[in-house]
Amino acid sequence: MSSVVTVDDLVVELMTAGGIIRAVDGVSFRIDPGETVTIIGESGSGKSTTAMALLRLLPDDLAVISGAATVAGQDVVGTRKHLGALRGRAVALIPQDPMTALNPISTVGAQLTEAIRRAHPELDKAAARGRAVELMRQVHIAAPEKRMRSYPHELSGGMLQRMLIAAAIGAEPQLIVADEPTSALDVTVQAGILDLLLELQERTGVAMLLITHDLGVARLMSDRVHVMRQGVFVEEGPVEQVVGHPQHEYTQALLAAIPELGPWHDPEEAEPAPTAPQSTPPGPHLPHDLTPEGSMSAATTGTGGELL
Amino acid sequence: MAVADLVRPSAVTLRQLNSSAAARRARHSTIKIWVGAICAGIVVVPVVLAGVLPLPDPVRGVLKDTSLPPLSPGHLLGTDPNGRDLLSRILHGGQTSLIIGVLAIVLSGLIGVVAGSLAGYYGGWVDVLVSRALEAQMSLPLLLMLLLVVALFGPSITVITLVIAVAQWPEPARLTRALVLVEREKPYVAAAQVLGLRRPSIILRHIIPNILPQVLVVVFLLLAQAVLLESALSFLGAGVQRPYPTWGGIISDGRELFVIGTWWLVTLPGVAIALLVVGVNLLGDGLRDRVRRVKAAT
Amino acid sequence: MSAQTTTPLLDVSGLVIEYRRDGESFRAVDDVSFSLARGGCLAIVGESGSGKSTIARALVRLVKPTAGSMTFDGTDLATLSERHLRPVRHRIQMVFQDPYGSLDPHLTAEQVVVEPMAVRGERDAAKRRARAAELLDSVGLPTSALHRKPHEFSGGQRQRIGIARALASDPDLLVLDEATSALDVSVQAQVLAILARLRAERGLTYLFISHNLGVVQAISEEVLVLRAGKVVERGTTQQVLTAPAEPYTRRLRRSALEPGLMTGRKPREVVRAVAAARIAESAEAVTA
Repeated sequence: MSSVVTVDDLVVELMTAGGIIRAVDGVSFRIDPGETVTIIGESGSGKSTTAMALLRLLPDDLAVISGAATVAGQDVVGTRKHLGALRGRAVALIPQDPMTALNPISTVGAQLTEAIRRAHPELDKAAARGRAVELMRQVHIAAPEKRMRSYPHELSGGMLQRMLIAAAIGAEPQLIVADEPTSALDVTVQAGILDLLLELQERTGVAMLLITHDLGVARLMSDRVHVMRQGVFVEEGPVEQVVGHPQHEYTQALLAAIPELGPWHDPEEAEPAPTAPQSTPPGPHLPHDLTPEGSMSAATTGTGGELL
Repeated sequence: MAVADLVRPSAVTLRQLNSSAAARRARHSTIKIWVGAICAGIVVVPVVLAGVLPLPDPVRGVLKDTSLPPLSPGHLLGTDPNGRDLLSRILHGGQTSLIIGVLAIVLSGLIGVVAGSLAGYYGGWVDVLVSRALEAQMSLPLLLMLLLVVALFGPSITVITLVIAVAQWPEPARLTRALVLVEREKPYVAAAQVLGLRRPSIILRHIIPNILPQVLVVVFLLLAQAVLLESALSFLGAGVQRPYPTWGGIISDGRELFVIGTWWLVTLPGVAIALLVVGVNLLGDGLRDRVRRVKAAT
Repeated sequence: MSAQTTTPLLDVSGLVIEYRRDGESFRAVDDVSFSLARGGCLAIVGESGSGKSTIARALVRLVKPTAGSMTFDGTDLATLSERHLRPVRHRIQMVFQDPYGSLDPHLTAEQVVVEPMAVRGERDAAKRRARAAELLDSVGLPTSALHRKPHEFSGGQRQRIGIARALASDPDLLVLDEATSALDVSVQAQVLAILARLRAERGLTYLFISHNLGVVQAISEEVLVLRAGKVVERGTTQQVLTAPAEPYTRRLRRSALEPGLMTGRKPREVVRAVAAARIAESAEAVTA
């Protein structure tokens, strides 16, 4: 099977008021069907620019792209011809901030339906709407028929991101590009979204290009990672290898800078969680029946169940 | 595995660079600033120098030189029926217009910034008061109001300046208020509050310096409007009275003579007004673009 | 142990902060109590809407509490008038989350750091400059930084200037409102190290607001978990993060992703195997 994405020596130069900035300086990678490839980097590394360049979302009067890249077999650098066929069909984008990605004066249902019809022009409005409801169920949005009539500002960040994921998978794409999909969300909501993405991958085998600064997210979601710094990849490989045995000093420094939490006692787990070899030695092991003294047990809602 | 020693040549062509959004924006604002400065300069520089240039008396004419066309010997722009040199009258009249214009915008700028800052920062009833006053002011028909005030208090430079300033304060006030509302929410303002700074200090030392460039550009743009208003008043006879020349007055006096062929009395002062207004607008526009870009970069 | 030595520097009791909007009132902080010993560090952890930032803002009186008390070294800050508050303000300072908005863009670093001294009446310009240089040095910035403006600095450097500014008025208590949340991970580590060092060197007391459990564990001995304005759990960081008692705390803990720790998740191979199997199935179904 041919790769979903091939990138060969991609260079992106930005013509800004302050001069020409080479945001991406010759990166190469590929994504095979069903794989999740992650580009990890800090701010200014060029990771988002790489993704935006692949999707040709950078205006031509700002960015000059050279090198070669194909998505779903179509050239995306040399020509803009195939973009219409790719965007929203073979490739879907899940952006960072769900609130600004949606039209505030249109209901989420209308926007989702519109996205579906664009990907499947053969469907009439009613059929598209039915598919929209079904997709919302797939992303675990409760009471989808009712939610269709909501406006973006009425929904939480997590709910909106699920909507965007629904729109993304509605086209049955070969590739999902997720640009920091959970950075704008609370950490408990993030867990739900990432689990959803994993579940969808299980079901459909879609390939994913994930952009993130969070090594924990990368570890969870990726098959292979590329560590990016100042426009180039400094290290790459299978995620367990890069995270477990980083070779490049930048990767090592990055991993060392992450504050370790270490293992903890989760009564819902069968056994304590394993740690990777390089983590700092865990604190004293607490007995399983420890009851913390002086903790305030305010009324809390139940675990699980509710969707954030 | 970055190969740091191989510095790759840029793939950006000169053509792409010149047509890039950043270059175009810079070019446009530069062009605007230059063209605007030149247009306005053609009018402003001679007007400012009117006192020292070797010009004939703008008030006392030589009757035998009545209604000479432009490019007559000794009269570059011609004369009016009273034999008064038109160039001299335009330049001296321009001084009146510019003085009134500049004073008016300084005054309206001051009132506007103070009112807008107080309304934006304090909110509450201060904001209600200022905003309603602002709206009331803007809903009044400008020229009619000016005529009324001049009719009541007489057409002196002071009255005209004050009246134009009062007419114009809402615009800088509105902009200032909007900008202050935005700055107020920024953490550096909160930091100043946490230090214990009193509100007037915060406004004066932190907020106003950061919004002043944008407000100043808008105040500058008001100069064109002020000059036009003054000319309109003079044209209607409510400006500074004869025999002192004013642009509007010259045009008004020359109106009836236009049909018999004495075109220069109406056209040339009109050209002066147009050049100044267009120049100021272009210059202000270009400056506004520059200010915006500088702000975005910080 | 006499009562004097164990009197907490800060004692918050029954704090309630309500906002009114369109006639409806909304409780951002609902009956929160905690205390903080001098020289200690308490982290307040929660997600958006938990009220943690509101508590931080209340402590520096950017927001006035609706009810309850905040006793700082014997004085209740909650009810003080602005006039009486002013002389005490310098003792509690704040470090803000956004490095790009927390410094006045038209001031130089020196002017930013010197302002608290000017407010407190220090007129000698030479003394102020010397102190500014010393403060910037204590956060690891060179003297050449003094005359530069905020936009010439990186996010991490700006945040350090913000810390220097907070220290300029010689505070007892520093409220750090998500002070590292907007920073890259490597920069965050540097700033946390600086904060830890400064606390040890100067005997400062910290109230550290964060949503990041790893950061909390790195910097704080005690932690308070907040949800929808109410306290959910409290204890030492060790306790709460290693053996959380409350379901919400456990959920928070479970959601914290670490590169080295994979709890309760299917390994990628399993995910891909299942995906491959499903694709193979549906391919068969199509051809069948």
